[in-house]
Amino acid sequence: MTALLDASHADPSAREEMVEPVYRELKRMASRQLAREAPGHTFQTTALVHEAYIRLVDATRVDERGRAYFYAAAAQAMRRVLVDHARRRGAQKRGGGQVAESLTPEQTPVDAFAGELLDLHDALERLAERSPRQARVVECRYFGGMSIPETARALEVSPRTVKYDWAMARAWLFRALGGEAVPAP
Amino acid sequence: MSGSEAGPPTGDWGRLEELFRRVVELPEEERAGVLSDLTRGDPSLAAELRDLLQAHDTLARADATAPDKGFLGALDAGRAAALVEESRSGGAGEPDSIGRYRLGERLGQGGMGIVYRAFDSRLERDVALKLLPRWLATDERARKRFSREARAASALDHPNIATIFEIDVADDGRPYIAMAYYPGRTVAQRLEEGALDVDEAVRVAEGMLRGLEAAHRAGIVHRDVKPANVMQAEERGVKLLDFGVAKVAGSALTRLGTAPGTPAYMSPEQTRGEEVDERSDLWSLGVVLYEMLAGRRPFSAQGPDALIHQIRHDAPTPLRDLRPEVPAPLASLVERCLEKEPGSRPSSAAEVLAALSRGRGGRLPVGPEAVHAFPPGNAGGVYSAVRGWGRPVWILPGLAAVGLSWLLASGVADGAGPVGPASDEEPSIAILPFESLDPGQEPSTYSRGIHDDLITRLSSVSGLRVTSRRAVEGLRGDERTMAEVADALGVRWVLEGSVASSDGGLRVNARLVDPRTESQAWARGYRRSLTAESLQEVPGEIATEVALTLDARSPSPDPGSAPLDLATYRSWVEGRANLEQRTEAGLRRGVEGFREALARTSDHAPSWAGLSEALALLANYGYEAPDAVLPEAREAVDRALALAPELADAHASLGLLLQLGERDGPASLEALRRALALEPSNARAALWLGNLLVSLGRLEDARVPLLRAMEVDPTSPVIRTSLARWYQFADSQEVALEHARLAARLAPSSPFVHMVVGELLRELDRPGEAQVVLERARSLPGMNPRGFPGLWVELALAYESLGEVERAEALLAEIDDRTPSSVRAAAEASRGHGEEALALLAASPVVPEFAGVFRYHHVWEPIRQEPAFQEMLAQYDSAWGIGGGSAPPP
Repeated sequence: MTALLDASHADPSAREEMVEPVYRELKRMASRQLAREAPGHTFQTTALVHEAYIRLVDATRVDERGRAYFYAAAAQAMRRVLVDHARRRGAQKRGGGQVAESLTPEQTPVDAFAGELLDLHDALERLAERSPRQARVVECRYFGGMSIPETARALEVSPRTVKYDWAMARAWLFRALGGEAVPAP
Repeated sequence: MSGSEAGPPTGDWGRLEELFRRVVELPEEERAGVLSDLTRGDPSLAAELRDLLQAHDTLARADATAPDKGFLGALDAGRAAALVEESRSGGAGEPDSIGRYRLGERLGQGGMGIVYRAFDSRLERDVALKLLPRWLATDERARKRFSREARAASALDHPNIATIFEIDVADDGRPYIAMAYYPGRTVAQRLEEGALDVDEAVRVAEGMLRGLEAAHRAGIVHRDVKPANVMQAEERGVKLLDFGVAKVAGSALTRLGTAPGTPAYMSPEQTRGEEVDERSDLWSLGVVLYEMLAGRRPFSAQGPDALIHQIRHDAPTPLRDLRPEVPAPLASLVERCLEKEPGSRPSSAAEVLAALSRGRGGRLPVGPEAVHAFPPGNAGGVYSAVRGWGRPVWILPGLAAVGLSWLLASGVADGAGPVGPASDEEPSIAILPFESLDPGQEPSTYSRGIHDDLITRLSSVSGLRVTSRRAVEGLRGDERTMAEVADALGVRWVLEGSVASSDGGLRVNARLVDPRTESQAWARGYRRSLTAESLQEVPGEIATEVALTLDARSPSPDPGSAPLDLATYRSWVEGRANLEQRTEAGLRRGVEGFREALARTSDHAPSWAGLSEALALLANYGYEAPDAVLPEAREAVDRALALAPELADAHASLGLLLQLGERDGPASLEALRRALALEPSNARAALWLGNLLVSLGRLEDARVPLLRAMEVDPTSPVIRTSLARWYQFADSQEVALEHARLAARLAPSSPFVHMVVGELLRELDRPGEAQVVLERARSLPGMNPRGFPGLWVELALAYESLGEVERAEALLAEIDDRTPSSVRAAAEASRGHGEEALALLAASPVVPEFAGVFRYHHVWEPIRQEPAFQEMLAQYDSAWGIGGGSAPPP
């Protein structure tokens, strides 16, 4: 695993390969944690990612950038874990323009969340066709809970770029998901 | 996803991104110019950029108010966890039990969780158990907030709010709510069959409003009022579900910038995510009422954006276009609830309720808060229904449902009379005297004691109306059908039972009967050793179980319990029984009974209260001079209150004493209100309170307590007469007459009651009938002009109206100088001799009991505005400890 991280320095595409083991670990941890942890224990995606990191990586041998790579991979894995679960649940996508879709009486908030995730996932795919970098920024920020500097390190761009990407991607996704923009008062 | 590489943007996107970066941080005023320069010749690029910037600004504004809560702010860990877990377990795998609850059939599933019918294995009762999603209590803070809100919601104790037994988080971390299980269906289910009848819709809305009113008073906003949260429980009326849940969930519900829950019932301010108050609930109620009446929602655009736009900006189709038979005032009330601006809506649930009740008529408003909504000229009751929304069908149940059969059966009535509105919302019960299975006297001390005790205990249950001891005296279910008894007393439930004592043992059987079907809702037998403790324990247990069966609320614990021996218990019960009779001998025996009990057990608070009441009543009925008994009565009541500060009877007795002795109006009000708060079905306290309020010049406020007294004790002539007076003073002579006639049938030997009937007939321009009634009263044994001059005056006035002036003069001539000058003043005033009347009044002593008559009786109309008369009224104010420049008591 550490070797993998080292390689990622040289070849950013190696990150893709990191996703599989992190995904498996996150999935395992998410299930186990929910099944047995004491009530009230916080299920925090970032906490899970950190734990996965410690489990999978020899932390003493990894520099800040390596850690950023790992987190970016974990963010991607987290996205997949959640999307897989949403699909397994048979959640219904709403299709575009329905971000504020109301719940029907039969629908639980979890159903709604699953549907929202699938919508976001689709929109992110469409965004990635236009700007893969912006899609990755959203992935890191939203699914990985990463800060702007962390995201910048992981994606090897400037924090300023991440900031603009984040602002624009959010605005684009908001519209893509049917959000209602209100003119300034 | 794999293969997508973080490379530079391409094509049009690259251009868009570049422009976005250049413009986004510019100040608003510079942006437009730069934008048009940069996108000259490319309108579609310009349009896309403008849209993106507007979306960006919208999100930035939202971020400024709630960082991290906005769109894509943070992944909702709670819901993510729930998603992973629920899909892992297939979503449907629920445990067989949660804590001590065994889960049964699924009753429904809503936005906030799944509801099961469940069985509480510890308390052995059915409950409805709502399993809430885990994300409501994912971490310590969320759990604390959940418990806090849940406690607030479960503290709501109201017949129109679903009773919450318990809210907790199960061992596996899953929050749940255990509620009373009500068979029935939700309004949402009902609406699947289409619109409701107008009166059914109004009834449901009234139930909802009562619940909301109570909640709002407690500072709790529902936030999610919708048909699925309104239960039409079979025989239990309307129940609002899920109080507080919306708030608990609220902060966890903003994800990806969205809020779950259908927006169809949300107020405009709610769709904007603003802080809401009770007026938001009134909006939602308006939507539900509209839907019940029209059969469709007022806002029903497809898609949430269009729907939210409609809610914020469009007026709904006028109700009467869709349902012409909806009365106009009702339609406009609904429209007022649907005002976009909270400030333009009715300000409180009580206000809407009062407006509904005015239109519907003949129904009792919920509480003292509601009474101010009734102007005196439209003083409710049957009369207002006639002038209401023009739907005479609404008054029929009030007139027809109650009272007649028993009154006919008992031979005291020969025609229709108004008995209280049969409340179909408020649970009500008559507790019939328990049968004694012991040889000898019937009832026995024990059967009477247990019966008394049950009435007292159940009377303390808020939201349950208990028919008074007096009204059920001598009634027994096996002499008449249960339905007749229930009908006559206007109650929904009947409790009956038997008591046997032998060989040091006590056997009590009790059963709760639904008179409509004569079926048993609950029954139990008790076997105990015969001790004073078990004589008090058993009614305590019966009361608790009955209360739980009826409405799942527990009576307050016996406030005056003290260790007793059997002899004390017997003396106390005898004292109580005698007190009920209100005859001089009965009251004196009551005093003896309580003294005996206290001689054995000097710290028995209920006996001190009883002693005080018996002494006060001796003075009240004129059997003893006030000075001779009131000091001892006061000492007794002070003892009772020191021993048991929560004893309703003691507060009631104190209230009476303060009226008879010190004439301290405000203090008496406070004591009587306290008594009623402790024991809402205390008819005596309600009567004394109502009459005091009339004396203090607060006619409108007196209506609710007097009606309450009548509902609890529908066969009391004193209460009927007080109510007749009230309606007379409030200009509702026809309703007053019906109550007065009923009182006259209940107490045919009371000249006072006949006199009131005669007055009312004359005021209604029916002097011929007045004359007949008054002459019959004059022929009662022992009547003479000295003892009852008012009757002579009234009869004279009747003859005068009939043109028989000589007979009138002859009657008045029988009244001599020894007649109280106030009575002679009344005669002069009604004959148009204002100056003579005022002169006589100037010579009259202040008799505080007359305050109400002076303030409101029509006989004084011609001179009421005279300064001398007003000055006299001010003297009455100060006699009651009010006025004199000080503000009236609250």
